[in-house]
Amino acid sequence: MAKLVVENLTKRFGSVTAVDRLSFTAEDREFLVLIGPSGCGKSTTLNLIAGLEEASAGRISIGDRQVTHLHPKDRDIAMVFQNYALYPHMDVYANMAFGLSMRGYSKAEIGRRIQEAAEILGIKNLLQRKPRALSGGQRQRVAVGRAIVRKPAVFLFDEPLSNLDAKLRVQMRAELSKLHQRLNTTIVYVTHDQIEAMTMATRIVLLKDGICQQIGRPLELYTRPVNTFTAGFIGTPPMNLVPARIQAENGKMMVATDGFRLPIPARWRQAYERLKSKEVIFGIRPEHLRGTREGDIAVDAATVTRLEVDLVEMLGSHVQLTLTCGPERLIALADPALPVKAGDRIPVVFNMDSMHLFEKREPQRRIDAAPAA
Amino acid sequence: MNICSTSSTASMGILPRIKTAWHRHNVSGYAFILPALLVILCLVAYPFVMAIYLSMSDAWVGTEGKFVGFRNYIDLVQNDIFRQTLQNSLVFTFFAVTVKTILGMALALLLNARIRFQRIFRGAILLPWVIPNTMSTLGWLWMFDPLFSVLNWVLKHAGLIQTNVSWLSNPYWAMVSIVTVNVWRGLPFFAITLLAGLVSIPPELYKAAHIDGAGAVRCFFRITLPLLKPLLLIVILFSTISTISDFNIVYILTRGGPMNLTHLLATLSFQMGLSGGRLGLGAAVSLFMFPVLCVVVYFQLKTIRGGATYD
Ligand SMILES: Nc1ncnc2c1ncn2[C@@H]1O[C@H](COP(=O)(O)OP(=O)(O)OP(=O)(O)O)[C@@H](O)[C@H]1O
Ligand SMILES: [Mg+2]
Repeated sequence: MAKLVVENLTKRFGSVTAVDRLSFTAEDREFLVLIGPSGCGKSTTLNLIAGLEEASAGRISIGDRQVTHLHPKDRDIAMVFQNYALYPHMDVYANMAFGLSMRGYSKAEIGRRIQEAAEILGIKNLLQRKPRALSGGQRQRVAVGRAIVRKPAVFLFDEPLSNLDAKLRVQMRAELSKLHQRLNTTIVYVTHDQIEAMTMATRIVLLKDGICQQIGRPLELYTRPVNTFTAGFIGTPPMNLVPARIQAENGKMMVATDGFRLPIPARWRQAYERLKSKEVIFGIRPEHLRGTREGDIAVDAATVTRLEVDLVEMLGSHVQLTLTCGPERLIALADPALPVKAGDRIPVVFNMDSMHLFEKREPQRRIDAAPAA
Repeated sequence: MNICSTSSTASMGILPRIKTAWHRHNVSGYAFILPALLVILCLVAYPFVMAIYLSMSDAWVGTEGKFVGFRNYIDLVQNDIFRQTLQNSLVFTFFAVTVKTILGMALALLLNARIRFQRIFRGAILLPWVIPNTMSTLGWLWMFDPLFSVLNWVLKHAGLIQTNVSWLSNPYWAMVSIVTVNVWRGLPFFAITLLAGLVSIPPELYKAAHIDGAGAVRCFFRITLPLLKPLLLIVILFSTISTISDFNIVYILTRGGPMNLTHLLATLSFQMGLSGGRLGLGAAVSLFMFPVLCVVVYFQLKTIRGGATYD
């Protein structure tokens, strides 16, 4: 149980900078998720925290200790690997006992801790088996068990669920969340699956090319992405992002693109005055774009645009529509009962209260209505 | 299913029927191994059976010989030179294989470490193995020369010896010499094979072990060695078999001397059977270790099957 502080952490492999001046803090008992596309430096960051790689620059501390140059075994951390990394020649019991016996715990204490962990994870009946006689999910549990018997200050998980099938992944996700509550320790968890990040994290650190993009609570990243990268990365299907121009039109501010012209909500008009005739990126999530039928009651004419349907994907709970909007494609959702087929032109309601604006110039930062609210 | 296929074959012509049979009984598989099988039968099985027959006959060069049962074997057991040779063979094999195993393991670990010019080293390590055996052994013969060779010269100038050592005529040094040459030659096989084994151990296991608190030494004994065990046993097995039947080194360096103290089974067999003309006795010498080796192989293979695999 401890706080993990990472300051200006940098790792270079030759000319590649895998991690670039990364700083974040995982508070005591926090479930911090590192997320980002493949190759963004998530595993490298975790290896640096674990001490499996030597940092090129920066500092790491766990609790009140500087651990930047300590050996992995002295950092009081435990790690769960993507491919589990169970010792193939040892049975489950020996796998879990290894770390403890290396640290000189007594036989009795080791036995007690393993029984306790096995109880929590439901693997009591597997203790005598070799890893190759276990299913993926069972190996996963053993790998977690090997970490928790050590009772470390910080747990490190590197994509622990990515080798499991979809159903098991959902189940293990819930179990890991529960385990976190039960163990009450700090966890740093790497994944590239944003659903895992959204559901499990207390806070998320989003990386791209080794550079931290945004740190925040899951909902914060979802509702106030700091740039178009975050906006596009968090959320499935991803946020629609289209180039647009802000125009003033008889007292209203409008967002204009090649496919539509829509008014900015009245309460933000003042604030967006400064953007008049500027090029921006307009962003809106699919769930805030609703495909409807002509003559539907709830349609306020001002926020409706008629767009052509390119593709209809029925997902049961809802229909996902791909719409043509000038040269761009927009994704919208609709009621599964909506009679719609490709080629139709339908009214689409834009929930402009949930719109986002970003600067056109890289790194396409968020433009807030009320700066620093 | 069955009914269906019989009725359809019945209505078929002869060619399609052959084709079906070909596929159904995996005839193609046997056809592919047939050439190799023939070669093995002619070049391995026939001489082997022939050797067994010869070892039970009193054949001399040029004579047919008649069946004498285990006479040759009994003669051998009572023969002092043979008993000495048997002891030489065991000593030679034991030390050569042990040293090769330890040095081979060390070399493999070194080659597996992240070092500069790794590829050059990995290639160079194979050299003793690819140089024709006889040629390199002749090179050693020259180096062991007591008067004019580089070895004594170096040792003398380094102050390690005062007088020249007669490497190949001193009983003790002769054995050390042939073991050394055998180790020099066999080391690459160990190093490269064990290196291949090391490379195939997933690096995550070491990461996990480091975090678990195991240092380099405990990593080796608790992770590397157990995982390499099956491979190590196979390598030791192969090496034992080829070492105990070594011929070139002794034939070129010592011819079995001094006083038969470096004779190995192969060289003794050659001397008795071909130089001495007693074919039957020579065959018996070379076959003497066969039952022993069979037992060794059986137990080693059994252990290997019970060994660990990754994953
Ligand atoms: N040992 C290494 N030598 C050279 N480059 C490396 C090394 N390890 C990682 N890299 C590089 O560093 C970058 C980050 O790699 P890292 O493994 O941390 O990515 P990741 O975010 O974990 O990706 P993934 O989701 O695919 O696991 C990549 O560009 C990778 O090629
Ligand atoms: Mg990774």
